[in-house]
Amino acid sequence: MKNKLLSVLLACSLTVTMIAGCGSTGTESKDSNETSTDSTSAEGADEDVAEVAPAEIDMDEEPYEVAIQLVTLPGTDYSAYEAEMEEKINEITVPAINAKLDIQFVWINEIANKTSLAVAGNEKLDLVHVATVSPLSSMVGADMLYDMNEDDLLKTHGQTLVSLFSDILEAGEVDGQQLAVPAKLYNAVAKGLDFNKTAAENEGVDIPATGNLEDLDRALTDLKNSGSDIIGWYAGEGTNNYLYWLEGYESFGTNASYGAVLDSDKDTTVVNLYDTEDFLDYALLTYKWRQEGIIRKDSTDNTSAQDYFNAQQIFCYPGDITPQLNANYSATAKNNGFELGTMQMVEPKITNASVTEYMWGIAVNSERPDKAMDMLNFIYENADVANILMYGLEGTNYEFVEGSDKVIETNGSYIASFVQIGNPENMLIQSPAGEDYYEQWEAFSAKATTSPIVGYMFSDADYQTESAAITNVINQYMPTLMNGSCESEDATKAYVEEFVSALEAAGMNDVIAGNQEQLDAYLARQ
Amino acid sequence: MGTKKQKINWKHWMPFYLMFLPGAAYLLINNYIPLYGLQLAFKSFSYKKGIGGSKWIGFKNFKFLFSTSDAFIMIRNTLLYNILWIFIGMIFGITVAILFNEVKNAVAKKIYQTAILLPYLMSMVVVAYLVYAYLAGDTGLVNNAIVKGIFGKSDGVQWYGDQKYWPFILTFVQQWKQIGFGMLLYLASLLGIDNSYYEAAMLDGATKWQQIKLITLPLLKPTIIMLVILNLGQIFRSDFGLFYQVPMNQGALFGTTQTIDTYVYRALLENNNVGMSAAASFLQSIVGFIFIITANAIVRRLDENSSLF
Repeated sequence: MKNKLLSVLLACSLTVTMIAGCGSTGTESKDSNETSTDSTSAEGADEDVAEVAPAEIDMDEEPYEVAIQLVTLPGTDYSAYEAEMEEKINEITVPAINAKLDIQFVWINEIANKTSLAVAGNEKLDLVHVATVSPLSSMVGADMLYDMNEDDLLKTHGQTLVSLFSDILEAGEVDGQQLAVPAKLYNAVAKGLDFNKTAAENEGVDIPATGNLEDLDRALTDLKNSGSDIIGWYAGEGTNNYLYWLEGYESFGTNASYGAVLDSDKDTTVVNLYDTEDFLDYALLTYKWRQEGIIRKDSTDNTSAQDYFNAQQIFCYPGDITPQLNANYSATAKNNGFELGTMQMVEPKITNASVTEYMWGIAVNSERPDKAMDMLNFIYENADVANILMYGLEGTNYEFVEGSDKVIETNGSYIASFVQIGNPENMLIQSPAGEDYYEQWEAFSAKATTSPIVGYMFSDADYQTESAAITNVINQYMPTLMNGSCESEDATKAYVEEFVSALEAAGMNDVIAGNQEQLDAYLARQ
Repeated sequence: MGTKKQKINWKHWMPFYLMFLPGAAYLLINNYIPLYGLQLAFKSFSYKKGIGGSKWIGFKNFKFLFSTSDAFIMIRNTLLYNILWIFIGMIFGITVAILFNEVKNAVAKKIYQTAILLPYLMSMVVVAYLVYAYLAGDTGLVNNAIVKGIFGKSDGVQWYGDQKYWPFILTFVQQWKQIGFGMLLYLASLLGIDNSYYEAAMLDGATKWQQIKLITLPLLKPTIIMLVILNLGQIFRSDFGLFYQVPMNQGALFGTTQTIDTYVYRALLENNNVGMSAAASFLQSIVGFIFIITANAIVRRLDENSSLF
């Protein structure tokens, strides 16, 4: 009898835990219904109000907590500083806009999943990282972002943002919906080569400050002939199209999967990049480099080019060039015992890619999009809040450089690797950049042109099938071509031809035609 | 009389039903409630509108699986590898189980069992790097010790650059990894066979081979049939780790390493399309279901006692 009683009790307790375990889901889904009706009810709002007055902030309600995603390197743990950072920020924001900030640190490898799960599961999330591995283009189709045009939210609650980003705001606009706002104030980007200047000098290799593919080819050949054992060119897994940094076209989709515009100042025709002379020439060049021993690794090597570069095993790699990147990479190079050089191959330009590289959006499940917008707007007004988010706590994470109240030296205990927020003009400057950092930026930006298609984004909603197939074809052919691994020159040409016909079979021409149509319509509206 | 009997029954069965409840709740939550999400395969999913509110788009999500020339390759690869491995796995599993059963030394038995089961417990990522250590173009053991060392060739073989080697490499790796587990299943059945059969056979002068052919295999038949039917249910699926990690995600190898799972992963990594991935896995389940039912029906017709249901 006792045994039977025990077994009944045990079974009961197990059942109770099971039921308790799933209790919370019921209430959550109810919430999600409520929010979705809230956000849709305002759809009929009038959009064409010319001048909108800033919204009054209700200072009497309970302060709303705005959750913001700060993306960091995998493996980092900043939870120790989180509470103090939030406390310091709230001391400023509560009196000013009656809102608190809740920092959510997310590793970059998890950000795409975290965001979609948070939105799908209606977890607390307001300000969304729309950048790096979860760019605007990947979030549009699934309606994950709140339309900031609803109720004129951006105009009424985001006036600082509107005035700061005026001419590039439309980069976050898709089909009339403002889904994100740019995060960076300086968006000019040049492209070219980062190289090991110390090695170049030691081996007598001459590289000009600005150059083209021929200069690159000559430099790599000279390096090879000098007998140096440093590897000239390294394409890693070959999943990135390096030509992007060497030729300066503007591409749509990942690796120009939706086509590219070769020179937007002259001609806005969308072409299949892989079907151009430029691409074929580059494929033949990599083949030549492999034959000459300039490329020595194959596509199974997944070590990043930066790692090899810092270890002085490779001579150079292509990438973006900006004053900010220069400051960062020079410091890294210096720590590794060599000097960094750059060869600019593409003039500085403000493109859609550079503007959309970092953006902020509001999650579609945000309970209070207005407070989220207030907060974002305030961070771009108040440098103190932005400084805490970017650099952490004074005394704990950074110290001021002697004799300066602007330049700081960080101790590496807090690195917001993938965070771009705040108006840098009033913010702290991280050494090795000096006080002239913003003057450098201004000078650099002054040289830059703005692409005529800067606010245009291709809506791929009708091309999901093609997109999947094209992505797959590019993944299949690119590594071999980037690494020059074909057997002969003829085989390389044949392989490129095969690549192009595979792309066409996957529907690339339809996508490009659709892209061109949307682009022409966009340009006609301007 | 009847009511009295029922009362006694409840008292007796109640604890069992209560014990069943957590399991039932688990089944319901984990296996049945998610069926609601199957509709995603036929919808254009929007996070804003939720699963119920998203727009129906019919079979459009399925189109990407069949619309290109990749479709033939990935479906062919998935099916052929699975069919091949079901049979190879069966043959090796039974062979090793029978050999293992003959080992009488307890210490040796433990060592063999551990050695043979160890790969099964390894993560595919670890396996991928083990394979890489052997096959890497410049530093790999096979190229340096065998191709260059024994055969004296000046150039190593680019294992990761040529897709023709991979059906063999993948089959080898898959068998090496799975054989321990396959063997265990057959071994469990073998241990259940009454020793008196073998003793009687030996008295009648049966050889080892005759014992295996006439006693062991017929008695293993139900296990073999059950495992084959269960495996057929997975015929449209593939081990993602094996096909993605082990070939190091090399584009040049897609011709022989692309399966439905890796295609879906690679193709949808960029555009976040929940509907299309749901469609792919829905299709895999349907095909698996059809295969199980068909295989079972065939078995039932041939030998009713061996069928699964």
